[in-house]
Amino acid sequence: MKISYNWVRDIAPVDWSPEEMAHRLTLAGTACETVIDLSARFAKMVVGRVESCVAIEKSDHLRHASVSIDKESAGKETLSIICGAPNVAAGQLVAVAQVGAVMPDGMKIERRKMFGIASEGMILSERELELSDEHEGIIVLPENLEVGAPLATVFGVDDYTLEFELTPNRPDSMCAIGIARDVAALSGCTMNRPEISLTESSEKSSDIIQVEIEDTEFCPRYAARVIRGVKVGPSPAWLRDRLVASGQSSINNVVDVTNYVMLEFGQPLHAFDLSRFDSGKVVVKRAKAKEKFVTLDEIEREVDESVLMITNGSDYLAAGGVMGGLNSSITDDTTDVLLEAAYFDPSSIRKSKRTLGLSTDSSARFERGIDPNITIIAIDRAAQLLAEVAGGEPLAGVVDNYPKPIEPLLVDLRPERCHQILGVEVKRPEIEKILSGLELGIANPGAKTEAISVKVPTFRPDITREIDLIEEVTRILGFDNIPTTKGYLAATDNRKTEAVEIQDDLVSTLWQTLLGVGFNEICGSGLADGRLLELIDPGEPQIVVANPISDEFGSMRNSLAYSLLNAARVNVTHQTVDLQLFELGNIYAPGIGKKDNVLNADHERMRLGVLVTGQLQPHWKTGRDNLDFYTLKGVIDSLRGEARLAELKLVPAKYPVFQSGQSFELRGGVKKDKVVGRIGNVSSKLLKRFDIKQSVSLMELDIAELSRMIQPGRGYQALSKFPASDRDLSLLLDESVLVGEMLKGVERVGGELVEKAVVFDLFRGKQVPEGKKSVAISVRYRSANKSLESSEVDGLQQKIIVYLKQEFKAEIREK
Amino acid sequence: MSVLSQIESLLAKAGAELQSAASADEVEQVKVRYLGRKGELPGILKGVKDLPVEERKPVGAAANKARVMLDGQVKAKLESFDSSSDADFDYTLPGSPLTVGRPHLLVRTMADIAEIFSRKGFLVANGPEIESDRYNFGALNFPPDHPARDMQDTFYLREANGLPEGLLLRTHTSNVQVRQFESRTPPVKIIAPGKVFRHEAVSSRAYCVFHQVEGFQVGTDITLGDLKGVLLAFCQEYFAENIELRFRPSFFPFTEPSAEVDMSCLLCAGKGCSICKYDGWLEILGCGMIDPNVMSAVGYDPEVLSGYAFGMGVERIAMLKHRITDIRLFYENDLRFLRQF
Ligand SMILES: [Zn+2]
Repeated sequence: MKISYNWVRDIAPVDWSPEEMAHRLTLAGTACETVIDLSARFAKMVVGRVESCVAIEKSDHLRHASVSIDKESAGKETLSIICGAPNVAAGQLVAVAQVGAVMPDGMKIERRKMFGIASEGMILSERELELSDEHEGIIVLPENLEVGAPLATVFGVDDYTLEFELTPNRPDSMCAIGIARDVAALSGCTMNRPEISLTESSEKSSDIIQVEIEDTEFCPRYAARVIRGVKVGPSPAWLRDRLVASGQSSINNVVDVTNYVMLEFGQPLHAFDLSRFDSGKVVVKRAKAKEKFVTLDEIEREVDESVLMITNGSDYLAAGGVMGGLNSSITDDTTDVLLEAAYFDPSSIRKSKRTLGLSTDSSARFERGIDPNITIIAIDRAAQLLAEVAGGEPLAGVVDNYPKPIEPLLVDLRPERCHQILGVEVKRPEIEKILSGLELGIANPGAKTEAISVKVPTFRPDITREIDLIEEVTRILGFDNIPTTKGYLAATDNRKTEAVEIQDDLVSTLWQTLLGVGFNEICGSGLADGRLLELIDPGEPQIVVANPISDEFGSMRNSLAYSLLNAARVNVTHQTVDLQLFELGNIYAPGIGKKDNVLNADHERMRLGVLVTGQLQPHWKTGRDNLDFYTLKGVIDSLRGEARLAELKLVPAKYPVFQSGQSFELRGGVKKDKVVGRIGNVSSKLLKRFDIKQSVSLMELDIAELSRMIQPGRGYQALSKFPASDRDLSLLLDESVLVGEMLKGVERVGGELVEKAVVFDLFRGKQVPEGKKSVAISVRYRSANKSLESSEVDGLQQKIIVYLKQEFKAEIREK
Repeated sequence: MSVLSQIESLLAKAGAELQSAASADEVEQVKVRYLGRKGELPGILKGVKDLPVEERKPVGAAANKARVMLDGQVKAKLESFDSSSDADFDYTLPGSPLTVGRPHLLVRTMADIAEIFSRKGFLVANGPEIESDRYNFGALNFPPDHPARDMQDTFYLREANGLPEGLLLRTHTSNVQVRQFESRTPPVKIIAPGKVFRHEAVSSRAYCVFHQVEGFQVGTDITLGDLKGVLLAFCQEYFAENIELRFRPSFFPFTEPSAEVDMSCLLCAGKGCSICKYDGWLEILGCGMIDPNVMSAVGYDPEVLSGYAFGMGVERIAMLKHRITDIRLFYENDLRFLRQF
């Protein structure tokens, strides 16, 4: 909301600069974000005389004017300006923006050339200066002005616009008087309210019009006045200046008066052409479903029961509290006016506004809650101003339909409660002084022990409880005056449930391990493109946003593959092609969290996703090594080791995200049959869709499932004092032999003396027959309680060889 | 003792002697003792020709392996005495790439914030991102159909694919407040970091997803002074010791009195610069005393208990601290960005 600084100061006379006023109000919770110097907006703008003006041949409407802006040169030195307005003529005094001037919309005037003619400025219209909506022609200034005079002196706007960012709980501050009230409370000055004096004719408003309200819940109060003999025309300068300084453009004197009073008292008013009420009555009632109504902005809107209509009994003339109708608006021919000042119920206005798809200055005030008892003052004030600026004659009296008056509230404030909340004692007289400064009445002044009984005027609908009063005390007192204390150090019992504890520990272990083995963490947004999700996991249910900002953010991700592949795409596009990425984050799908409800999150599960592609950084010692499926298997081993997880088994499974044949479930759990994740090489079709031209391996693991696989500690294991013996074996195997299975077999057959069996070489090629692979393994033997005899080791090794020959048709190449 | 066992024990013995050799000369002596023409290994091998044919081959292989191993050990030991003399030693060759991964800046920022509050005895807790109206709004004193709801543009979820009706994406981590209150007996002291969602057009300054750290404390005598104290302590620990705070009264439905908090500019210390838009202050968080209606909604007695709550935007804090100018960078996951922190 914007309000003129001068206006506020007229009501609350203080000697604060605009900046100081803005600052003090902001620190009292009436946030004034910006101060605009209105004379500055006329910088580099002056009065000019059009010396000559000719049409430009090659253009159908542009003209070339020579304009003098310097009195001394007497028309000899001129600016060359190209102008499109039809009403420019030689001899006129006009408003000229010189090169360097900045228009209110931010446009900067620059030197330009059109049709070979230089343009060194701009001749201005009222709209360009945001003085009014008039844009048909330029402003022609009165003859008595001096050429070269700054425009600021002509428009006389020696004022500042204060721009407020008001919070929704403060409807009282949405007007000059409300702002002035805070200024008075902060400064201690006395407010000067406008004096309202009215000369009414003998004819009565009530002879002309009656008000019927069909829905008094939506419209608790409706007041009307009739003003006859109005001459619609431009507003006087003082009125225009106030409006412009308060961010409103001037339309005509009648509409300007209603806007002025709204900005002054916070009461939205509406002016109808009285001729539309030949029925003699205003009927306020709800619309019916699917009806049409054309608002003042010439848009046809569909209305329904949520919209309250102001009617003459048959025709809809305004959408109450939101916007007038085109059919009843003030025109140049209007002579008699019906003024409306009403109070509409805030939440009903919100629904109505939503139906209409329309937010106006008026609805913004009603939906926050205006003062239901300012009605008569505001309508009288408007009648007075209409008489002053439009020559209108107010009829006697107001037709006021207000069946159930809304009364001020009594709210108790205990000074000791205030002390308890703030942590500092504010003495009773000081509290009373602050509240009175805000025009909150003290019903029991001077009482000693009982609570302060505060009579809350109806312009403060936000104050209904003791805490609301404490807030008022705090903001006027200032947060700065409350000393900092250290109650935050008080101890509390911070127990976690066991499930939360286990999960938190697991997540932290996984996170540290992945960082330690060189993986970079990414963070996906959670919102995802449903079409891509469908490509990754066809047919899997998605959670869909009902009001998305775009398709790209239309669903919730149901896999981490989505975020990882997106991150891979971004990096590969920027030539970062070697990637080790992970994310620990939530996926979302209907009902997936119900079973493991650690966080009461029914539709979320936490997952770990890991992606690799490209190569490890090449090095002269180790050469090049791919980041691939086997890197992920290594990650699983590291994670299992660090988090003490039970074994995870790979079982072939069909996931469309993976290349068939390179796609596996990860199974584990007590019976080793629970699917706890998936691993594989991403399908080439999907890679193409993500613009990735290199192979990518990916796995996802479910955190809740993993947390159930944590094995209890085994306790301390004694360290063997005896040496180990290593035996290597070089084998020739069929391609079909699964080496991992074979190693497990070796460890099993070798028994407890086999500490470990590892593969240290694998190759295919010239020396290896077609369909075979050469595999070298090393077996380490060790006993916990003696030195192993060579013969004993040889015996075991022989047993293993026999096993390999029988079970895997292995040929032993070399012992 | 079989020949193979002899070789094995010879290796162990030679290894131990090399280990304890104190000079290049001693190493040479060990080498001669075991590998020399009249050394122990050739000595053992002399007997091989007497073995049955099928046993000769493995013994030969083992002996060979032992020689290679010992040679290597000798060489390594000699290098350990005098590496500079070795002409093929190039100390400028790059070291092994033992790369360590980086945490995402947002995760690290949340962890850093959590760490400071943990030191002050706050428990770190989480809550769901998909929420009901009650936990995101209702129990936090947002009346239905109130303009306060416009302050937080909300993503609503479609009742589809088995998802029940009436769910939304949480707009703040304040839902954790309600959930923790419901499951705990005061006094409580908790911080809740996490992801939140707002229906906002994406630009360099705003994103439809961001992270928040919510903190709150409830007890029998928790005051606004304590709130000021905890925030000042946090900002001074996290940013810099000379930080000052400014409280601007504001409005949040779930706290009263409420305030927005500005911190003196990190760069210019309040003098005014381009970071603080020549204001000297940076908006950093929102806070207030927990509204009695929130207490009542979870069955706490607001006459007996009082408490405060605050919330800060993690992206904003990271952007201020590292002078990042585009919020979208956090979610693009470009490693050139992520690995800077
Ligand atoms: Zn600064």
